[in-house]
Amino acid sequence: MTPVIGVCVKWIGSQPNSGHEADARFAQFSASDQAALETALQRAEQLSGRVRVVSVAPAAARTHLVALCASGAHELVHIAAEGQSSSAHVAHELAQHLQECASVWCGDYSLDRGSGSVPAFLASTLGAQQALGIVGITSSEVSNTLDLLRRLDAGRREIVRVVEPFVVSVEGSLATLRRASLASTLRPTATLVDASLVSQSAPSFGEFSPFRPRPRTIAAPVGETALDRIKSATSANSPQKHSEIVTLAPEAAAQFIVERLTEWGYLS
Amino acid sequence: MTLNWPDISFQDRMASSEFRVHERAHIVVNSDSCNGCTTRACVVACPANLFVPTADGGIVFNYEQCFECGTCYMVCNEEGAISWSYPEGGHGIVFHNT
Amino acid sequence: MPDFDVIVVGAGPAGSCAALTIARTGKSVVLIERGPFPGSKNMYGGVVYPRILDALIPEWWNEMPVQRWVTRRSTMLLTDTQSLSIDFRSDAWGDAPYNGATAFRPDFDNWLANKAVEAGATLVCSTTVTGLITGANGEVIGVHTDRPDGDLTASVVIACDGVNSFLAKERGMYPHTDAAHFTLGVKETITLSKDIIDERFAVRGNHGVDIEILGGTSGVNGGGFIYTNLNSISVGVVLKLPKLAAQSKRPEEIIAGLKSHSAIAPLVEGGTVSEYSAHLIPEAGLKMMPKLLDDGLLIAGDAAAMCLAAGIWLEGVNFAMASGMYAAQAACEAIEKENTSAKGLSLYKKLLEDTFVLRDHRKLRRAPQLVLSDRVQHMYPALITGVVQGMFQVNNPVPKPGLRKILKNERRRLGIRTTDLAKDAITGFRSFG
Repeated sequence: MTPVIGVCVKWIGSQPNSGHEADARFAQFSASDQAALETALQRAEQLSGRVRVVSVAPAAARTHLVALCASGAHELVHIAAEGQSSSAHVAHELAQHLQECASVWCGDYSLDRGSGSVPAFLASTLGAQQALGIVGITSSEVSNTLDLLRRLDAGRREIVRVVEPFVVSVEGSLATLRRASLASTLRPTATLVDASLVSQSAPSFGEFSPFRPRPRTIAAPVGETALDRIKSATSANSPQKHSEIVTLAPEAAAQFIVERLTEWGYLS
Repeated sequence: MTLNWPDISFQDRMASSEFRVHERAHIVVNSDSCNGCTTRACVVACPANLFVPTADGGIVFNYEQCFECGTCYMVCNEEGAISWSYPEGGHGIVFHNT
Repeated sequence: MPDFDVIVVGAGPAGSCAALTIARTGKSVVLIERGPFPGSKNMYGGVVYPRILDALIPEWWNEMPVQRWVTRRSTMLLTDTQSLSIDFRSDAWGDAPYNGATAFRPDFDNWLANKAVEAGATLVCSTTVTGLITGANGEVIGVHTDRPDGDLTASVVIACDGVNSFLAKERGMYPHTDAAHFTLGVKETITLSKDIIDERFAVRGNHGVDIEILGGTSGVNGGGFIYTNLNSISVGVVLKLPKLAAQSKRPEEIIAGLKSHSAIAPLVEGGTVSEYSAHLIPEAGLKMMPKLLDDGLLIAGDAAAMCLAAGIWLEGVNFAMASGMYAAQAACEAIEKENTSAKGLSLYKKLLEDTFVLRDHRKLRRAPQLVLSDRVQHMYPALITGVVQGMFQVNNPVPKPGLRKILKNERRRLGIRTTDLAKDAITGFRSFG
């Protein structure tokens, strides 16, 4: 069976903060959405697969979606929806058309500075692994496992390994979308699937909130004078270890961190 | 004659127009020709102020905020000093309210 | 078999009218635009005279994207400290079929291109045509574009690729391009509320004003303009290239100078610049016009220098639309007769000669040079405003001087020779009379 590689793109009616009203003429897909499509096209070439672009977008987006797909996508699923939907709802609708996709590629950054939560909901719905902020692909062999270079704060990078099925959000710098040929621009070759919303609202993903460590209770400092109490509260002058350098294998390191966090009262 | 302060900075003026910049420069200046040039018409005439004279007698050119008008190569008196073509389709200036 | 009957390069007013005309005959036509949508690269002063559309889109005024209908025209002379306006208003211009309208080109051109698409033309955007493909006998048989596998063939190519027309130049149809034949137009679109515009310019509803200005361009030969849009005004200057290049004021400084003039400042102040733009104008009319047709190739619109810049008349879009339409008619006839050589396409020349397109240009062939001449630019505004000031100034107890005396004094003061004055008057009369 030919593998199908999914790509999700987000339609923004016009550039935010441009001072202009929403107008399809000025609309563009973000550089990261374009990079997602290009990466998917390259993976499809490696796997002899097909690329399916899926988008929840209004009718005004049609010509832009078709033009985007002229770069080489095989299928375009246009889920018609006017107006705004929640991230969970959008992910739920996208997932309907991505069930058989072993990998789904999304843009990491949308032009309207969205929360970036659609890929997370999507991964959850599809039961897939998720990675975001991807700026490089470090594994070269063709397999169902990929090593991805991920951007962290302060210029640091980490390599994450994902195993199919996965949902990956890529940054615009990862790849530049190839130019569509004149022939495919004149006569679009992508199979067009017109879809409509399967539900009018998001299914429940349960209650969730950001992780916030609980406060710890610390006993009042004891001492005769104010200075003693301050010394006691700040552990000044005490021969305490402020940092510790350990070298461990990744699994052991993770275990070590969890143990310390538990010991310090951040995890229970 | 009173001194007129501009009511808008040049940066703000240029920021009012949308440019979809392509990585390839569609303007190329042959600095050998510019070094001997005394007129430097492009410096004053370019409406986007893309041509900047340098201390060593050369000209630094930018292409990112180009209106694609063609003034620079028209006023240039050195044949072939400015090579000018259109940017790749879909890139460059995008007017909204003109 | 070629890919299309006709390739039209550039989806401006000329290209879209050409594609619309061809598509209506049932022939296949592709309209290639380098911008992301039609009109995205196009800029002009601000007024279009669309009556030529009567032939293509009946009752176009019901659907055309208009900012305001021009019902008031002012021609203004400026010196550093004086201004003189001739102001005309016609209620008839505020009703169908109207006269001129302010419109934004990204709206107008996009609308016109979509009319061509509705009629069956294929529109391809974000695609730059990079050159012509020629056949065995040197005839044009198609174009190269900058897309992968980007060659396209057709029986006829209509180049509506704008003022820089690299296609006409590649084909050697411009004998020479002289910077003196071009002016640079720069303008600011300034946002102001509709109420303020209505009050300042004394108009109501969707009626608007067109102000053409001679002088006020910091000594650079050219002119200025102010047009009212619905919620903004367009303020700009047109500058003769060699004169601009030979002095030290930059274009935006020249606009700032115009905006600070005591006659202009009250009209424009308090607004914010919402867009700054620039474009070249082929200003020299008939004098610079290239060869208009060749084997398999027609040139229309700004690419053919069909822009009328004759002082009191500033038109271009209407000439572009007409030339595009006529080029299309010639192309269709040539394809039907299976002769797309220059000879087979010669109907284009005839249609242009028989209509306003070349007749206006021929009649006004001396006008651009006259209007941009140093005397008209720098001396006559001072002469005329000086005479008017002499007439209206009350210098009691000195008795009022006679008009003839004022004129003579002013002419002497400015050092204008009677022979030059007479010569220019004759040229002006022959052009405008």
